[in-house]
Amino acid sequence: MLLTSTVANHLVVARCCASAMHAGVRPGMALPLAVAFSPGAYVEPFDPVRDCRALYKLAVRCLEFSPLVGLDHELFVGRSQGTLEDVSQLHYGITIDLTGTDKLHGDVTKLALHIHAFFKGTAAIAVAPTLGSAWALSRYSVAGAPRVVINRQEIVPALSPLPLAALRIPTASLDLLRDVGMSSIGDLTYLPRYTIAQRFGKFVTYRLEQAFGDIEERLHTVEETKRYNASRIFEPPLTHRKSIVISIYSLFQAVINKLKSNKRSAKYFHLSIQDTAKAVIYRELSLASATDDIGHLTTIIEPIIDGMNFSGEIREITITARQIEATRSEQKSLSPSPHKDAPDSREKKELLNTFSVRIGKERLLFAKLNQSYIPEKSFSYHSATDAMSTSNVHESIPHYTLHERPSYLLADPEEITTISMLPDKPPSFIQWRGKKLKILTGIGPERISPEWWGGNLAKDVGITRDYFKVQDECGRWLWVFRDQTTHTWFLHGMWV
Amino acid sequence: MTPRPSYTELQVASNFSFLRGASHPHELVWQAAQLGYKAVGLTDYNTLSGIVRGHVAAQEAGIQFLVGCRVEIDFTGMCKHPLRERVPQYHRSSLLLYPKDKAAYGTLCQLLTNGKREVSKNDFFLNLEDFLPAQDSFATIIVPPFFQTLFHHIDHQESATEKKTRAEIFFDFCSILKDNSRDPALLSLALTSNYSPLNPHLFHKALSITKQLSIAPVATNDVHYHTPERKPLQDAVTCIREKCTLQQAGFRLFQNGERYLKSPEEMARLFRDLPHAISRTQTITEIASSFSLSQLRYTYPDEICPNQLSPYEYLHQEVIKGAHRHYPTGVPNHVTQAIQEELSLIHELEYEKYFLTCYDIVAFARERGILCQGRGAAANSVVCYCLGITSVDPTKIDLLFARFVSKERREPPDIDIDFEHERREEVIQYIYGKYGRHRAAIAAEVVTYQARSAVREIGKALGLSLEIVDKLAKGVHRWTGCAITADSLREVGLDPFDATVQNSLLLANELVGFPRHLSQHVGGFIISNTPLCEIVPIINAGMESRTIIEWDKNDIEELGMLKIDILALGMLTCIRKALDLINARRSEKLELHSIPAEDPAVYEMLSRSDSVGVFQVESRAQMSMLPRLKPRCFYDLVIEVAIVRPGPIQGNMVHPFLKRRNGYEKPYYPDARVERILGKTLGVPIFQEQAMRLAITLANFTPGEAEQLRRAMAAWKTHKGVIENFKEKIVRGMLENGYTSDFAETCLNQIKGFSEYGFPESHAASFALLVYASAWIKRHYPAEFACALLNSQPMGFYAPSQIVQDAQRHGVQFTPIDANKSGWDCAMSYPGNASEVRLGLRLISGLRRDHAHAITDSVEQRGEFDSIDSLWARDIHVSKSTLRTLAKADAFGSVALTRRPAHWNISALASQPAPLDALLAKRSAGHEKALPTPTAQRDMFDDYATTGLSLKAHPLMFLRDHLTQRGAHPSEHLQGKYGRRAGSRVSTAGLVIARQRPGTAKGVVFITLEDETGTTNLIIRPALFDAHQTITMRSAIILAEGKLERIGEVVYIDVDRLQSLDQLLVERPQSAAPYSC
Repeated sequence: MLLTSTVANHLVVARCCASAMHAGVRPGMALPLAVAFSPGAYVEPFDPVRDCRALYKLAVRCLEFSPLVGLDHELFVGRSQGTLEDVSQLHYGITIDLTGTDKLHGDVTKLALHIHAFFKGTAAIAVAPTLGSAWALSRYSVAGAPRVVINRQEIVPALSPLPLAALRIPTASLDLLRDVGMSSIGDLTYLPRYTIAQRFGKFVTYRLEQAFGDIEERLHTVEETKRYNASRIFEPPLTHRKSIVISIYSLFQAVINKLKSNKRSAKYFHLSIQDTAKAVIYRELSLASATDDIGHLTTIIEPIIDGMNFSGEIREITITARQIEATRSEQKSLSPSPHKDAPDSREKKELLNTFSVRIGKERLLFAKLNQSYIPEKSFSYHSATDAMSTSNVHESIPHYTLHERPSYLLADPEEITTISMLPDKPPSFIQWRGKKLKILTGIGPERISPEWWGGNLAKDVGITRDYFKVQDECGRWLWVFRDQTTHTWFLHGMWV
Repeated sequence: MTPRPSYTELQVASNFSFLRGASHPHELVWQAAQLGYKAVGLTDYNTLSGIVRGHVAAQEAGIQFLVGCRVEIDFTGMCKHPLRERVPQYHRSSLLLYPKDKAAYGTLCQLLTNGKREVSKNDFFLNLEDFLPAQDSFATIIVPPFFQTLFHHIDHQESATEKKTRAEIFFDFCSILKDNSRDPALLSLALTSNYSPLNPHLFHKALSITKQLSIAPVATNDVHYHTPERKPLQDAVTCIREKCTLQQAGFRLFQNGERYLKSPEEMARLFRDLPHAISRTQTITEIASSFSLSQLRYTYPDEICPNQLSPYEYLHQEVIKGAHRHYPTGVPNHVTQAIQEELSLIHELEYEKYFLTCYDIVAFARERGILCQGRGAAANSVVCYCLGITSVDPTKIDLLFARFVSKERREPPDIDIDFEHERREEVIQYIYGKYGRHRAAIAAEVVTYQARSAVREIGKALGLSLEIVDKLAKGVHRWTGCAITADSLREVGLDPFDATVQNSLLLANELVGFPRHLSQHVGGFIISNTPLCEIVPIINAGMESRTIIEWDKNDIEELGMLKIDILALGMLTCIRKALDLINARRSEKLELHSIPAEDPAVYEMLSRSDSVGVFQVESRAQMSMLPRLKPRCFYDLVIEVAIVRPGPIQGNMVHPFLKRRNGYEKPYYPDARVERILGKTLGVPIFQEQAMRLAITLANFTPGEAEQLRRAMAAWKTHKGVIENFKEKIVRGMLENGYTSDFAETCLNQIKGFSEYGFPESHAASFALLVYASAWIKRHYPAEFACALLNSQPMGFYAPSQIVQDAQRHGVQFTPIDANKSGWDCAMSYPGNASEVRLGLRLISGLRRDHAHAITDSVEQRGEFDSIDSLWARDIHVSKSTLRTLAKADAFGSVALTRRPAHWNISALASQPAPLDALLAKRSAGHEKALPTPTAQRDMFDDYATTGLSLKAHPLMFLRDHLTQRGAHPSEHLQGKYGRRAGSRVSTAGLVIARQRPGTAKGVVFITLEDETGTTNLIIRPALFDAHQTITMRSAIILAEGKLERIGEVVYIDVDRLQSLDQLLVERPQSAAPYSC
């Protein structure tokens, strides 16, 4: 597998798997070259943020083995400082503190096998008395079954044959050590610690002592993500509609309170109502933008609840919020907002939420301007989600093209017959949908070339059009064009 | 019939408006001529770099060419509008400037120079304030800013006031120009009718401005390409400029394809309502046509003649002086005669100052002890020989004197002077110092799009992914650069019928040859008597403290300007250093010209292909030619240098020549005239001069025409049409002179072979001199030669390791680099009778010269140091990392420290030298015993890593046992008389020291392998290359098996099996993690 990133407009290998490495691929290599070395390799863009997030999720799942599960220090630092690209793939690891948990599984070796099976054998696993030694063993000595070191006395012999890189020390120190001929951890153990620190930096002895257990090492633990839900079981079951509705609202309030106390908003709410006959009613609320405002939410759910029909006795109601986002703190303006139509105003968001629940998110479309001279390509419709994420694109587009564009554009240009006298002049008569129209005056032409890059230059690249804005006898302005290749005329729109 | 409308297109951008225009200047001019224009202008954006080409094309096409420029003016400073701060980006407007006379042209060059010198490369800035005083020199046409920005909102937040403001600002700008102008005939406002939706508004607005300010409107079409078919290319280059794809480009592209050169009739029709805008072009044409580039009179610099002597007298005096120096026993008659002939020709053509300028530069170099050698037809004249510009005695070589003085064209002669590459800068600074930066500058090199770069850029513009662009570019072969075929596309996994791929190739094909940017010519200096910036704009080069002019060497030649190529040649450095080393031990000084001539030992050595390090003939191709040609005299070397060139090879001249030379075939001459020309090369034309002379003698060309033929051949690819005229003329001329058409055809093909790469005899002679000199030194002073070669790196064909090994095979002793014993350079010592080379610190990669000198100076002043600690305690501003670099190079042998203990000692040093360090160092001193000893293999690799060579071992030594088991022979078993028989199957292995895939070899790859005993040559046929591309191109150590071939004493293997042995030698890298994911 090759993960790629773009450096100076060239695709280069950012990370690669061991088999690619074996074939001669190195990070930093140009992609075509790397593919030549390991043909048929799976190629994907390098996305350390996504990878880190996935690893975090995996770590959370490991909480079933121990309450203390952590990520590598370097990964943690990279995540908090936004320098994940620079973190070596060796530091994408999970650390589980197994102290005291082995009894639950028999012994440590069995537990290690459990974890091995949990990862379906795809993870390199080592168990050791210190974090540093476990790190080293898992990265540099494991093949197949988990490596287990139980006693502190075993650490030194276990680590000695490993390369110095297994100590997690920076490359500068590694280079210095390599220059004097040190290659394994064992080489270091022959030397007094003070001289190592003096020559190669204190960090080297620090890591060494951590690995050998002379210094404690802290774990960067992960936490399970909070669930934002509220649920209630009714004993005896509810039968009155009014009390059901009140319960639903209070549960929504509970979820919103939970969200608010964590400064979170949600975009998706799920309501499930179960009756004594175990029949379940589901309702989903998919909003255009996240909210933590109960008032707003109420206006949205009111019509939904109004339309619900509760036949049996209700035993349980559950409300779950998903698609959680951090709430952006907004200052409420002191006076009514002057820009009610600004793309991210609260009023607009709330309106969109209402629409998206009423008519369905997928039916909520936004028109967007595109930079294209071709009239039918100069705008397009996008769903609410797309439009929100790219809402600022159209701001950079000059509006001038709109000035001479008709207010109504036919879905497809319609062919018309004309009487026209001269090139560069509007027609004097047109016949459209069977009607003959006398043209009084016209402005133009405006010549628009085709977007040739869609076609094949050697064959056919589309047609050049000459547009005229013409006025018929009734005073109506029409937009017609002449296809410069075939000299046929079309009507494309009108000003209404 | 209506009379032809009188219209001149005045707003024209060629492709010298980089990435804006999409046609060559000559295409625009020829198209104009075809459409019936009587005159056409050229106004590139802020540059005059295309005008010479336009001028030349217009002369050929027989129409008038108007020199102009589109200049962007910034008027922030003069705008009085209260809102000007709000819309700063619109304070730039374009003017089309047409100089009305020669002085005005000088002003224009000056303005452009000023606008470009003050800002970074490729940028331009000119203030309105600076322009106004010069305004009346030009017919000025105001180009309204991009009309949308003038009359419409640029973004939706902009208020209507600002929109109005922008129009008002433009009005202010026009009125400032109007008020400043004294002659109303000189100021116009451009009106362009290009079928845009806003044309009516624009016309209305512009016309109201012209009326209000009474500025005459003038019709233009804002031409960016010569035919409508170039519109796609114009879109594509726009994308390249804006660094976007066509899909993203949007409104950065022009709305339609109307910006081509339209016929005068069409323009008249478009402007039928404004006939005075059409007729206005004639007013401007009249003004502008009073200046033409042919009026530029270039003058040679004046200050080269001392004591009120006329240039001729001074030249004559110096030549005679030189002649007596060269011939102390008396100048032979034929030399005196030649001198007289040449001098009178020079006098007639007034080239004295040119020769004196060269003489001046050469004299400066000589005074400083910088070795130099002139080259070129003019350089190899008797005059230049006497002046010391060249050391080749031209009377011994028959040179076509007429070449450098074609009377008809009055073109300046061409002299290239090579200097020692390390000291060329001194010469350049001398020229700048003597003539000043306003009078001396380097010519530009117009960097054009090549097949690869064109495909790459176009592919990106068309929105192909980087991966596919890479594949596509790969399809264009690096070595051959030939066109992409459908097969080669399929090979890299692309669909050859895909529309985007086809469009890319189509457009890339058009883009090839387009100028991309201006760069610095390798050494072409222009020196003038008057300020250069009045002749041509001067711009900053990419290199610090270099300025270049906007024209390249062809343009300069076209205008008859003096150009001297100040070139750098590594071999001269090497020869000078070798001579210095030799002379240090000789009583009689040896000089380049006093090296004993025609030494048989030298030719014997060269015939054995023993030429590592020798100038020119050390390349693989030359080495295989040497034993076939067996040079026996100086002229053989001249041929040797010239024959291993793509020109003779493509013209099929090598084999006939060799056959005749070795007596297998008799030279054939149709008559005595041909024999006189081709006799010395056995009837095969090898030099450009011979081709020209054939044209003169057999096809009745004048010398001037022959020179034109040569130029046409040089530009064969770009001007396909031009050569056809000559072809016909040659064949016709030869038939008239009674030669058979078969013979004419053969001659023509041979002449064609010179098209791109022909080599003039005069250059070959100059080079051959250096070949002989370096070969002589190598033969007689191999140690000094190796030492000088090492001290002149980087140069030549071989790396230090090969130079050292070759010298070792010649019995030279080397001692390793040592911080106590070595200087910066490699040095000679002579213990006993032997010659020994002490390798210098310069071989250590990453060692800074000043740091090295700090150490060598300290050793010189205070004696050798006895430990690293004592060196550190000397406190001589040497950093720890410098010591580390030295330790890496294993340079502490004299203090009994190998690489690892040295590092160990250095690691104990404190960051600053202090007395306490010594104590601490002692405390931990014993531990170095605990350090693991490196293997011999590791040690050798570390040597290679820092110095590129190892005196301890050759990498192949560690594989020898393994190789013997596999039946591979060491190189020495294959070589020489006792080596394996030709035709037998052999295998051998070695370190790859050279890979070549010459364009002329039809895809064959040549590889040179080196093992501990010598080198072996491999030939890889295309089929094998395709099967083992990675090994052929990348492997460091190769095992090859194949048929042994032999030519004379040179041995090569025609390989049929290949294997990489890289994995056998590389020690496991420590950083690579062994676990699998």
